[in-house]
Amino acid sequence: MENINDNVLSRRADELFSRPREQWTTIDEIIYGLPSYYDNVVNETEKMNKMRFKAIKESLNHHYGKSKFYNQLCKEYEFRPDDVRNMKDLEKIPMLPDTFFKEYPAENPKEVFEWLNRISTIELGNYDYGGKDLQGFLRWAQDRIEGLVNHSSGTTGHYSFMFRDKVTFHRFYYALVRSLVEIAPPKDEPHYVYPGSPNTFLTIGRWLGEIGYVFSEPKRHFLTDREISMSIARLMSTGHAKSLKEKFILKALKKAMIKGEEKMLTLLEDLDKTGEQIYMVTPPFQLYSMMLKMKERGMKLNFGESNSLIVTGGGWKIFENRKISEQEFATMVEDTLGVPADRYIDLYGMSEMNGIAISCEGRYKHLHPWIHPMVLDDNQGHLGYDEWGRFAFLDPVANSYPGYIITGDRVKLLERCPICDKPGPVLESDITRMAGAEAKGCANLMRGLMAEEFKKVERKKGN
Amino acid sequence: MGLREWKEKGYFFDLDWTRTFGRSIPSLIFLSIRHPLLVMNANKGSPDGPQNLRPKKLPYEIPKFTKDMKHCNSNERYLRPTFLCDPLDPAIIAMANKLGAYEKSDWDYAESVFKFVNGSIRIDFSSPKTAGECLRWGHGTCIDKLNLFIALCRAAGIKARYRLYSPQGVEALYNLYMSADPLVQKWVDNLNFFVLHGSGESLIDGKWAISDVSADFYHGPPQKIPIPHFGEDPADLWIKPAKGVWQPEGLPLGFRLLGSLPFLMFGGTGRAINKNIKANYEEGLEILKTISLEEYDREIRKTYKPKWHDSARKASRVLDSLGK
Repeated sequence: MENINDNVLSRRADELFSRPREQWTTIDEIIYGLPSYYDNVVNETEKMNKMRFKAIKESLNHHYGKSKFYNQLCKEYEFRPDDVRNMKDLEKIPMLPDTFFKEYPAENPKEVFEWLNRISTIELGNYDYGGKDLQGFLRWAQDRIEGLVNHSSGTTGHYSFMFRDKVTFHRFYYALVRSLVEIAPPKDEPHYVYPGSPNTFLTIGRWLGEIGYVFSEPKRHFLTDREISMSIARLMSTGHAKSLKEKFILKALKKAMIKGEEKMLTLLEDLDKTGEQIYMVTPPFQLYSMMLKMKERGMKLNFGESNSLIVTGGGWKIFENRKISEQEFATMVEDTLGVPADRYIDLYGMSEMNGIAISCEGRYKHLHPWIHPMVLDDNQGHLGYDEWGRFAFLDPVANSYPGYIITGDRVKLLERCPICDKPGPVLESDITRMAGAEAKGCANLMRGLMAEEFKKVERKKGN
Repeated sequence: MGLREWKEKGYFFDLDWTRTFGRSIPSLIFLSIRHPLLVMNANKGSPDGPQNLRPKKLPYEIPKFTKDMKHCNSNERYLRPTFLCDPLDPAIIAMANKLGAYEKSDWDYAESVFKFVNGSIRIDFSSPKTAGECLRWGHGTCIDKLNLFIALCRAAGIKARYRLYSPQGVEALYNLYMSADPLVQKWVDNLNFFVLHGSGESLIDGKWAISDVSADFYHGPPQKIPIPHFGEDPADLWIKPAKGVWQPEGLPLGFRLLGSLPFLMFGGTGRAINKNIKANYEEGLEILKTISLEEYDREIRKTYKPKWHDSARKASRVLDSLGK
């Protein structure tokens, strides 16, 4: 097997995100030690199950022992980590609903800090932030924990905050880079293209912006570096400007976005001409917008030849109620960017999970092997494979918070992928929100703004 | 009627009511101020949802009242009329006679009333009604249905009273009622209980038998919850008090006016909830075409365990209990 660590990205991931060997626990053995995340031969199911089980047990002991909050929650459920003796017992682990992470008492930095201190498994130290705004506080908190802080879009009025400490952040980011490298091994250093702003704490921008730093400066490209602050994120998510100032901000954003897209198209054309390999990561609606323009202009690129990778993530509503199937999208990617279906992947992930699921050529979503997925019914009873229900997971990567989460997503889990031979269970691609669950997905923030643009282009297409 | 009788009949908003509203209404007001969009959307939501679930044709007939129909006309506590619950309403007397008043044993009669109210009166989210209106229109909230149950018991000389509390339901009920509308959902998520629910208590052979007539029998199957039985405390199955219980003889004057306000203010919320209830009811009807009510109940009780909707709040409560 080719050594996937022998390339510039893996070396940089090692420099930036590795952990001293003597501190490794089982989850580190999986993340840093496994030669492959997706190889069926290397990751024998039985061996992998045992490692995951051990990692979850260790994580459980960590949170039970160090988090007063989680310890108390376990007592409330009359649960002790020793109760977990086999795989089936994993169902007993007390979990948190994803909405829990937006239950801070008030939007002022001190109160968010105190709330964070209570839910956190790690020590945060003293509060010495002098400012009053949350955006500044997030920056302060990120420096304090030397990790990664992000917030949701605040669509329903409340943001959801996630604080990853250095350990969690490093494990997660190492895994992300390793996954990219494994799916599309880099030739020299590829170009990283993210048509959004990295200058934000909004989850998708924060994540994708941060991953950009694995690439050297001339090789990373963003649509804009305009700051997307918390208030702007909320404004974008509701789309309702209440004042002239807000109307102006929305208009300026839209303008920047259209201008940025043109810049991106020119960049793609240039990179294609020189045969550069690219890793492009984008919400589907954004890429759709660019592909519509390419089609309109008869522009056809050939990134397939450079073994480039196109990655989307963030939901399939293109605009308003218009949805497009992943398959249809994959065909469009091949027609415009020249990237074949096996080099186009759609990601499924969420801000609370330190792992992702990537789609295979059959469009089934393969989870990272350390995530223990579950599907729950309305009464939180555990459904088995092949049934639609609420997605929940146990994530042993999370060090700063208990990563045992019940989500609002409706999924179906299959024991094996019916199409490819990658190991482990897979999710059907048609993932939606459960009835009653809040709309989610900060990737879609700009979608509303761009709806008019899409309509214009589609109208032209119709003519 | 003296002040003491008014007090006994529960005509005043006393400490129990003040506590109940005091711990829930401010939260709704706060939410509405803080999230005006939610209120706006709640009112715009589900324009195709029904205002109420009044059936086009009643699934039962109310017999014509005749003067020779036996009924109880006592001023004794728990037998006399109270606000919105008049056992002397001719329609109530007629229905009580049809259901076997003074013919069946108290237990059998009360059970027949229980089955009638649960099986034939549609639960919905609508403005408060009297027992007579609930019977004539064939629909109502848990409290309306309770008014009817109590009136029918009292008409047959069986003492009956309210059992009121702020409830917490199983996850399935939460999904059906609360998650239909973001405003209600957020409110209930904040509180970890709903403002008010009522079960009934009827005095039979010297013991108060608890029963719950709030659901209709078609609700159970789609939600995989058992069919309630007469004399069975719902707290063991699907809805339980989150806070203290009180057992007044009647409802306070002004309850109708106060209870109508949410329907005037949050019309869209009502429509959204009714839409959910209707869909669930229709699904229940379909399921019960393939299996009898009794058979379904027998089967589901073999494995059923209530899963209370408190996992979300459990974590929050634990956090709150740790203090700052």
